[in-house]
Amino acid sequence: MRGWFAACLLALCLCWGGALAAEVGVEGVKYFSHHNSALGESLHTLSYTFNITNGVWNRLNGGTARDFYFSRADCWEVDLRDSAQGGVDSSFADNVDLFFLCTHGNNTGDSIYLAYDAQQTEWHSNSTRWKLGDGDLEWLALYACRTLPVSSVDRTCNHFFYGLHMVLGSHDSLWDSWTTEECGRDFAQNLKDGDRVADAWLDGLSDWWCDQNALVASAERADTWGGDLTRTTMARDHWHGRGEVCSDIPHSQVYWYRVALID
Amino acid sequence: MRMRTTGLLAVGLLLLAVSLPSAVIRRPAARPQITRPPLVSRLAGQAELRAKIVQAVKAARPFQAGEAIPVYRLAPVTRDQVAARAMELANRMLPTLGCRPLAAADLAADDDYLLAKPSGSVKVRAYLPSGFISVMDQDRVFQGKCAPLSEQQGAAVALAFIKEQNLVRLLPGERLTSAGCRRISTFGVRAEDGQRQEPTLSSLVVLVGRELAGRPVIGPGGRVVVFLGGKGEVVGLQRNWREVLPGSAAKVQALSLEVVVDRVMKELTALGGGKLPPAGSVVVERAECGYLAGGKHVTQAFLQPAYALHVVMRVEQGPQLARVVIVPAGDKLLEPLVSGPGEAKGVIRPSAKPEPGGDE
Repeated sequence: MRGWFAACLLALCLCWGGALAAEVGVEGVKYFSHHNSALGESLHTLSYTFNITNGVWNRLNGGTARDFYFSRADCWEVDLRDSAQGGVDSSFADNVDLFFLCTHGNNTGDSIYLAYDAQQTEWHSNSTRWKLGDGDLEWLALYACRTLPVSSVDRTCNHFFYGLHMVLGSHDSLWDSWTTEECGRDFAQNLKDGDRVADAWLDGLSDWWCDQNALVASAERADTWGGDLTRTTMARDHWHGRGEVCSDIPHSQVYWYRVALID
Repeated sequence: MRMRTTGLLAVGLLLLAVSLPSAVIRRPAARPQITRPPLVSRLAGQAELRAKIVQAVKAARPFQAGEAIPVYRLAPVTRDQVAARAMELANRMLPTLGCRPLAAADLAADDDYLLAKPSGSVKVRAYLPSGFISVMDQDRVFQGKCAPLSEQQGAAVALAFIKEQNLVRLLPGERLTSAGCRRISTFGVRAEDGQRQEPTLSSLVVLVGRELAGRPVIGPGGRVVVFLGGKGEVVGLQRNWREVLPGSAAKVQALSLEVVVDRVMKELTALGGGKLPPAGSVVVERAECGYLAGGKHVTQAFLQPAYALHVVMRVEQGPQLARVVIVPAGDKLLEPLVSGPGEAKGVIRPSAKPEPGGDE
């Protein structure tokens, strides 16, 4: 009888722990030799990529079956692309709570450009083919340059916010340097400390020596437009098990984006 | 017979005369096409980039070649000292943030780091490797409202606060400097039509630097960062300030400008996989010459002289790479100046790609 009780208690604890455990997917591209050879480009090595991605993985990997960490040519653009458009997001980026990617970035024509070192099936991303949050994803974190220029946040985000809570990116350069190699671990530690997700990004990326240009954009409902900002996604979202997390906002109900940035 | 022989000789001589010039002036076979840029233009590009780097380093007020530069020893920090200093600093600031004082038991340890959340949105952190301490009201720093202060006003408030609160201990020859400001702001933009709200300044971030023996302390470790909110109140503070022991630990000889520039060029070449980037794409945003102090996770025993160049490679569409190139300024190092990059701890991807649309 006692044994049964202990077993039930253990099972309950495991279930409860599983419910609280957040899933994380991490990808990092450091070398671009295949990309450069194929396209005749000259993307530079991002020397500290793995310091950043290891920092996130080491702190947030909860050992769930969905967690993954891929590097180099194992990072593919289809991981973010919508399944209906030939992608596999429902198995990777949109199958975890936080997807963190470190690579070269840019924004052209209101689409986020991310460079990859494997052609699976393209050499770079096109965010007009993303549909994020219709699966599990809440937070998309991109340690890459100029993914969200201030002037095109809305037009860029309109393409892919399908239940996604927040995109954590940049409005200009993010630095690849000895002094910013700690950004990944600081961001992850902030999440674990119970900081708001947006604050965790802005604080985690800042060493106040390199001019880091962090930016966060969150999906918001119509009733908070010009109203009570304490009820916004940006003000309420925390890492699972460390505070409040908002419910998903369907694509059709995303009325505005709240933007926070450092410049 | 004689006539015949003479005739043949004449024909032979004629043939020889005709064939000789063609043998002498025969064209060499055509060479294969060279597609790479001519050497002259490559050298010109290299010279242009070098000139750019030289100009940037000169603007940073470099050391004179052969000059004896003192290297300073830093006071080691123990866990107890860091905890005590965090408590002291936090308890000086917490009343102004409307918080109760911190007790020693409030600081919980996690890895190389102490954390306390005394109340509301106030967060206190201390890092054991460096002695870095942060006390911040997260609500007011990231989501509050700040009056539109000028950088000069902000710097004046921050410097006065540091002095009043006795936040840093300065040795003779040390002084505080203003290192500019950054801003944390928020705004809303409507999805349907892009209508944008006026941005709200959440906090003004005042960067206060440090100068030692007439040289700046460069890197994230030479900073007190003061966050201003409301009408100009201090709503957060980060101090990464390693204490210098009096007297120099050693002296190193300054490298010449040529050697420093060579090292920077070498670093830039390595980034491009053995190729120098085109001079036109390289923008040196900032160049500094001083004593390098690392971030909060770095244990450091010495303050050593170095150059730091904040370089952005830009292509037409925007920045492509932003990198701080750090090279030593002296002929020897007492400890490594920077740590090298790491390798991935990731797993190998399963070879089979999942079918599109699959859940598992």
